[in-house]
Amino acid sequence: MAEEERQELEQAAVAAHQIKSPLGTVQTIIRTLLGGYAGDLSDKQKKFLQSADGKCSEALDTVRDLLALAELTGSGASDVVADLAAALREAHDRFREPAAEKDIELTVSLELEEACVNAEPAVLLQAVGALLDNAVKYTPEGGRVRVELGTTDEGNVRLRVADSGIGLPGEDVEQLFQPFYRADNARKILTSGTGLGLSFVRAVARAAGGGVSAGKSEMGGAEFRMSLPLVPCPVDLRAGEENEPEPSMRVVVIGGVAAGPKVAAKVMRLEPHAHVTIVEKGRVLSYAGCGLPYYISGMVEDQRELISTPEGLVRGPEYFEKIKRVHVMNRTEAVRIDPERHAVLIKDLLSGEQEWLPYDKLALAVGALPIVPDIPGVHLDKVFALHGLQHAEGIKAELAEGGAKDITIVGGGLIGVEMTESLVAAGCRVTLVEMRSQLLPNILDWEMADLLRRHFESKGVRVLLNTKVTGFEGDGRVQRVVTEESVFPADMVIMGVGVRPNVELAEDAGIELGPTGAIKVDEHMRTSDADIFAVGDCAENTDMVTGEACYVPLGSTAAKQGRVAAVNICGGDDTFGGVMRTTVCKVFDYTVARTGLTESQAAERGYEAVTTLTPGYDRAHFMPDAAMIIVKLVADPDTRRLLGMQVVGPGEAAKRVDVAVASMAAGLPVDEIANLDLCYAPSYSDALDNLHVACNVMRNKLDGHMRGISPMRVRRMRDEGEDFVLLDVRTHEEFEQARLEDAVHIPLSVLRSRLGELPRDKPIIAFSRVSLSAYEASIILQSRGFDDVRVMDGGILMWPYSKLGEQQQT
Amino acid sequence: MDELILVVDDDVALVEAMTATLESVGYRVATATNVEDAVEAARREPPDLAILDVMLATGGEGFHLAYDMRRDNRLAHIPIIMLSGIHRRTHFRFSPDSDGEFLPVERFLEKPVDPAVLLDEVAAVLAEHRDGGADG
Repeated sequence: MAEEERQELEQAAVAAHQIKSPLGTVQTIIRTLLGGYAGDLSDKQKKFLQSADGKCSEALDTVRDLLALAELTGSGASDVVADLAAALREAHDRFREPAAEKDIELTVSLELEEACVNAEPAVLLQAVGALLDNAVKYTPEGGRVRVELGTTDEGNVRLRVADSGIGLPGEDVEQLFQPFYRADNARKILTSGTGLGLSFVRAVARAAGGGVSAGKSEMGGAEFRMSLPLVPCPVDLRAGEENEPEPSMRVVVIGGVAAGPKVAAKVMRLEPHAHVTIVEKGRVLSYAGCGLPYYISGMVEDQRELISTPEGLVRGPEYFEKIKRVHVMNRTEAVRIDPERHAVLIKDLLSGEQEWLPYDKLALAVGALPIVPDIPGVHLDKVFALHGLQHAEGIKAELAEGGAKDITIVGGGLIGVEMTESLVAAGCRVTLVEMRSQLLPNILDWEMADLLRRHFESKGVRVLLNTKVTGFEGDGRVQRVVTEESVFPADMVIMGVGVRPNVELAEDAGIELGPTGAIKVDEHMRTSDADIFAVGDCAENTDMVTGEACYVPLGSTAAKQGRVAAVNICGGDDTFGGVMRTTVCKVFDYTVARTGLTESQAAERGYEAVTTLTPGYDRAHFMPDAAMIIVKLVADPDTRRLLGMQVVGPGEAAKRVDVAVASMAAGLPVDEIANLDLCYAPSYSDALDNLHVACNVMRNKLDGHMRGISPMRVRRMRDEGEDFVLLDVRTHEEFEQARLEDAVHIPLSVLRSRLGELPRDKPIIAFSRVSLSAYEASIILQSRGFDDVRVMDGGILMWPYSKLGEQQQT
Repeated sequence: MDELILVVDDDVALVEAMTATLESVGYRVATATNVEDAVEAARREPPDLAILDVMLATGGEGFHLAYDMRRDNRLAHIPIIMLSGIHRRTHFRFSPDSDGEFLPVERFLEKPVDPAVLLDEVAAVLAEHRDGGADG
């Protein structure tokens, strides 16, 4: 169809949408009157209303046809299969009577028993019906209509509908297929008909990859020919239920949230004749669990968006049944697995009925459960654990009603940190309580987490570290949070203490658990039972950096594992290598991104790791949207490879970490990462990317050109009374803004001439704003015979303690 | 027959027509044209059945209303007939048979609804609910 025609159709469809609803109301009102529901009517009134009702129906038919046509035209090639022979048989039945009424001889001869084409069955029937309708309508009494189904030389299926009627107009027959075209000679006979029938036929033919044409029939009337490519008939279209072939394989998937549907869909793509069943306890499938904090804050307004495909299809049970051909049993609990019998005992949660569901292969995607510490008051009303749509709904409802203003989040891990922003955005006062000495333990080192704490506090969030919640108090509903030190008010509490793998079902079935307590799997995602796989938040992972078992539940991992498991279920060979604990999260204006081991995690594992701290702009500093990021690298001096990386700041952090992930997976030493040919233009990075700079600083340290020392170490040395010189080499201007206690200030520009002011028998620790100038200073000092010179990592910018003369820290 | 039916649709003319139909056979009718009024009306006197338009003013509001009712202990038992427009672009249609738990309603009726059909469905749903109401 010409682009112009398509656009016209689209505009008409928009208008039809607008007309549809009021027109429907008009018809309902007319029928309310006609039905006598609003009082009795005279016969004359009834007669007029009946004709109004008839006209309304005509208009609604046009609207429906137009919408159907527009939908068909806009939807592109169809991949659904329908049997044209079956459609003709049904159409024949429908038109037998109207034809008999006009004494028309209607013959249908089918050369093919079945003829499958790409079309929706209902749509194909409509198109065939439109052709027969036309033929019967435009053939005078006593005439003939012949329908023939055969094949062409090219192997296409050909449908011919010929009649002995008024025939086609002399002009261009192509016009017949234009929307709303009705030939002059047709107008003379009938005034009804939407004028869309033949356009619809053409759209159906085109969507099926074929075409239509029209001409004069042997009987002197019109003949319409439709030629469509044949496609194989699917088994279930042909066979009745009783002789349906045995499925090639029975796969049961327990869990319908993230990894489970992925397994099911991939299995169906690889093994179209498999019988796949998803068993899910909840009522909803496949929601984006990680999106829940954004749903609560209103950034994602509609709950349905979380369970929709990007094309807007709701991933409800029907979506999986119809589109993916996966059998879905929601509100159904898997009670027990019997590995010997290869069967799962399932229970319908509504009726309580139980039955055994046999499987050849079983996939466990049962997810994780929130850890709810057993402390007094934890079951009070308005104490939530963010897990699942129902909790999110509860929290959201609470916020919407203005019921909660003072909210305490227990746990400074990912869930807690991500929730905080949502709640502040919703206008709440938030207190974040963490038992350990920093936010995001296990994810960041202390000094990086401290940047985050300061950012939180600048946004009005109260952060209580080293604080243990011992209980909650309230009369039915939570009113107070009790910690070891104090009691403070709260009208809602969110527990973000963490999650644990849901392993009960697996454990009962004798499936082996790993050292982390999650289900042990090999790289094929296979459990200790060869026919049972486990994926997602219930499964254990391998840390690719250390090779040790780890438990890092993430939606991204679940999706990858789901695919791997499906391939292996279908007899293929795919492996999942492991994870690097890569994490990214958005916290107000900051991004936190990290991978691999932190400095403290490396130390716990016996590495004598070398670290760097390099603050810098995320793109050329002169670009208006340049923003700071602080990069911390952790490297193994023996291999010169990265062990981990952390990035915090308002700038673009994720892409630097992504490059590090790829480099680490490839086993590159920092020397090679430092020269990787990464994207460069001033809008995206500096000539040397932040990762390049960090790697170069790391190389300087590894090669002994630069000795670094962390700010925390400097402070400890000072607290312990060690004798050293803290040398500030920044400019006078910078020095005026903020300075460190006891620091000697000699700007880099005059350092050479003032060397005499520095002692040669004491360690010198130099720093500048980000310690780039300090590195220069250390080289000058070393060349002049100063033996013990170190550079404070990250400069004053990374000094996490109080400073003198500081006005406002941003 | 004095069951109370709550009719919710943002099309006032349609609400009036449905009200006339329902009242003509003896039902009592409460009406609302937005979600807030609907919730208030339902809480004031819980109806025996609710008829909701799926779209209302902004897409899907009726859907949310149905969810809200199912979560509210006082309203959770009320059967719902949902009215939906005649066509959706995606070919994706809800049906209470396969989607009962996901979309918790008793019936889906396509607009325009014939008054006789509406009365039949209302009577059928009320009857089913009376029979099945003992355990719920």
